[in-house]
Amino acid sequence: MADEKILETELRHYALLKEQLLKHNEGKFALIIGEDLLGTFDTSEAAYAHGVGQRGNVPMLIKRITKEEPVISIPALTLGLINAHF
Amino acid sequence: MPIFNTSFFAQQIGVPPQQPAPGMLLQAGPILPVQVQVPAALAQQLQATNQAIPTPIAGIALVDTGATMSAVEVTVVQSLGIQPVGTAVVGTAGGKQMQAVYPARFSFPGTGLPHIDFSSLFGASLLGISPAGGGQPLIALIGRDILTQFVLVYNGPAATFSLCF
Repeated sequence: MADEKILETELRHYALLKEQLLKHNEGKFALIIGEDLLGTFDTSEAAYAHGVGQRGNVPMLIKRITKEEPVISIPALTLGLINAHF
Repeated sequence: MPIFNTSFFAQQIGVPPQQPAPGMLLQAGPILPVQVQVPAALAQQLQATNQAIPTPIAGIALVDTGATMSAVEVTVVQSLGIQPVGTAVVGTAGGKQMQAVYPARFSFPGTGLPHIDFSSLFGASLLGISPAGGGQPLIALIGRDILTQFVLVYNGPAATFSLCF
């Protein structure tokens, strides 16, 4: 799935809250559904369990509160190497 | 400590003993059987609300030491009804793309390895790839996020690899 609108509302809301979250909750995981910040958690598993328990099986943003965004690297997919033919 | 060993042998009728086949390991890569299922928290929520828990989907996982994050075939998690929990930006030949990230549980039937609950798996397009040259499709990549918990031994000349938890 390549979709610029995945969790668009949640990501926008996180961007609004980021500076405030960094002051008090850096390193924790923020749980946002729609425009609601449901809390910050020590682990992403705890955030997911809370989100599912509160709202059910819905899209949600679980994001580690960090200054810099982590870089994801999967060269086999990026370069299409898994199914390359010579 | 659970250990999963796989050996690739050239099987020729009437030619004992079996000989290691490095070329088969080269072609297939370090693969193992995997079942993808809904994460434990979602299974509990479905059970509590008297909803059916989707049947796990079986396939093949490939250990990919180049990947910082493990990945799952996106149509598999979608068919299990799992909703996204985040996004990741990745570079592709066509430029940077935002992709959904999903939680899921992986189990490895017949290997003795424990199941793993992922809080974030990259939703990728892996279908159509059959690393072992037939049989089940590739539906997962095991990246370095999980290898932080495992010992991986890849022995090319002996055509074996081992995963120890």
